[in-house]
Amino acid sequence: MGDGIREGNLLIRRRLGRRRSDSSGGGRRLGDRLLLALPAAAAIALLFVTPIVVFAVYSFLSGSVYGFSAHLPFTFANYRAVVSDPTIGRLATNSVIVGFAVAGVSLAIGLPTAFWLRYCAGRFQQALIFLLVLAMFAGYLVRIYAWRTILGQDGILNDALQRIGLTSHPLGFLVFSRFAIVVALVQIVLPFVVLLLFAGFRPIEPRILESAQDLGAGFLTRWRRVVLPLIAVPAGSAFMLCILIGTSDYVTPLLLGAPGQLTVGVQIQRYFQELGEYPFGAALAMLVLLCYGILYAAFGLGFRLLRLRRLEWQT
Amino acid sequence: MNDADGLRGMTRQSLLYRTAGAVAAAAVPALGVAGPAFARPRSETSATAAPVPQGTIDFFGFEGDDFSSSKTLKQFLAKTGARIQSDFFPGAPVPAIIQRTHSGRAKGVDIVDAFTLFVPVLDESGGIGTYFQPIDPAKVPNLKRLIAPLRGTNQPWAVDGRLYAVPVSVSPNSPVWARKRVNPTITKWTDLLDPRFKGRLGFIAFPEINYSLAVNLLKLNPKSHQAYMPKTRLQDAIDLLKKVRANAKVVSPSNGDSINALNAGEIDVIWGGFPGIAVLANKAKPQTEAVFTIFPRDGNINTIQGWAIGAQSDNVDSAYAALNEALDPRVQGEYNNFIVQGPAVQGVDRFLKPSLRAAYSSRNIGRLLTRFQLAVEPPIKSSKYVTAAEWETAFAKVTS
Repeated sequence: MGDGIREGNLLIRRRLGRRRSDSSGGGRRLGDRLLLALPAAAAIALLFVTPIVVFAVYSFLSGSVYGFSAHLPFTFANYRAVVSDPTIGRLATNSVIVGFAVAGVSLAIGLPTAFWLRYCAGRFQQALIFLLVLAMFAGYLVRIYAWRTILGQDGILNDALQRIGLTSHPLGFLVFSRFAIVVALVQIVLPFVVLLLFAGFRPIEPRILESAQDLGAGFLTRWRRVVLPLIAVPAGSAFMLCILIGTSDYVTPLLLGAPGQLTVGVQIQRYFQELGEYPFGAALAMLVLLCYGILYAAFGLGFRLLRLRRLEWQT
Repeated sequence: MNDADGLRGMTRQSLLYRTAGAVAAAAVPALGVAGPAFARPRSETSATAAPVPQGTIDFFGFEGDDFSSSKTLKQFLAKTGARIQSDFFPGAPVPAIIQRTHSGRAKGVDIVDAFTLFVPVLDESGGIGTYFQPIDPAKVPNLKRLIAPLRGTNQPWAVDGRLYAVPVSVSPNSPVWARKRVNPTITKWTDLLDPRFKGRLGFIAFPEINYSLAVNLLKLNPKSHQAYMPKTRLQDAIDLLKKVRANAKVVSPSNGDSINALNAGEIDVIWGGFPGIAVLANKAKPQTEAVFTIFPRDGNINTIQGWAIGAQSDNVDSAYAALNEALDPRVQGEYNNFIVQGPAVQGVDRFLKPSLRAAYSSRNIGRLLTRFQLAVEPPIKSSKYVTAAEWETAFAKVTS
């Protein structure tokens, strides 16, 4: 109840603030706002837009093995070669499978975890969030090799399963498999997913759920009719983040995957680091970026059609 | 001759990088190479024609300072206050050398620890003179000690009759396996294609090693001393490696990763390895009892480790002095005991540990160099041979 009042007051203050700023100033205020936004916009342009533009230009230039550069003339040959290479098609398929599996599993675990943190953890909430952040401090490679120790032939998990009599011999699929890749990546992205979803749950007041319950909605109905529509947009962002990390990562598939399970990131790395054929690597990277863009647009369109974005603003 | 028993406690380039020093500290005394029995004979001191080292010698290579395993070399440098400052290839060596040179950061690099197989491909990529200086034989009196197959200028590390690198060690590749878990013994590479190794094989995914290995094993270019792959035989090589992949449980991106998998019991045999892998695996976990094949019956390749003098070296005389000393038999013994490779010069055998002497004596290395082809880096452009780009694409097909 207290939470609801506090958040209600906050909402009122935000709305009043917005009205005050809307009603005063006009053009000068707009100029001020643009000026204030300039450093951030410049930083974003420098750090994010410039590399993409450079890559885009590179992808249409010519290069050579061990060239480590790109030069004129402009050409579409890089794109033609990428699109017609069946190996890249196979790598892309592997990437998509891993990306969607990681996203699905992460969301399936992350949603109830974030929900519980928001509404049930009580006074332990901050401590648990701290622990979640702490989990991200371990080095990336250390975590991957830790999974080898856990999932390996003589690993902790196989040992435990045999000791309790669930298996009579080590399970071979646990490591050097797609299963291992997904497990390791889920562990890497899960803290981000939970934090994103937790932030998504923050504006959803407990009284909304209580109201639904008072109106006779059972657990599943509350989730289906209330929680999921309200959390859909942050959940979509989390899903997209998982896809980005899951499809682009190349170290985890290299170290935990079986032969034939490498991803498209491996090939991009080979072209840049080992062959120095920048234009070809850039073309491949740009096509991957384009796929992300299409997926992102599809999400946006889906939310718009389902009016999920409006629901979020209404809270 | 299949046993590496007792060859424990050292490493090799690209295996350990920075941990090499720590391993060396433990290994060198254990190898017994520093005892009084190996007091240096006067006749083997460096010839007087070699320059005197001084100042800092900037070193760029796989392991950087693996030669620091040689007490003799260190003492030689210390006499005049000279020292080696090491830097490491951040990834694959050829791209590392090219990028460093073209970004202007090769200035002051005195010695590049380049596998000699890099020389032709670097020559193709902008001219060898961009990267290395021609070697002046007069400043390296110990060149005369090189074993016969490594002498002269009719070598892949010479361009237009001028040497651009000097061999300092010879590394034959070899299958590596855990003796307790593999029976019967492995005597040839193609043993690893046997169905009994299905799901027990580690496949080290170094494209260039597999290029040369495929050429030698399939006799794709038998008349050449260097293992260049004819374009017409590319599919044969792919088919061979597909069979390797079919047995593989792991495609390892590095030697260290394959060692990890071997010691964890995930795999029992390694394709594309070399003796240093067995040695390091044993160092980390003696129970593995990793061993290697010295003379694989179906063929093999030799990789020649060499030192080159950087094109923009600012301490050339000291680089020459260190290079000459690296060819001293006692230094060679200490270094190869540490790294488990074969010596590049004659007269080293008495400085080698007995088990290494049995495997890679000067005489044996001479035989290996005659019998097996030299590993090569695929050419950048060629109408006759499979190029780096073509091989990269083909290899990606196999490993992806």
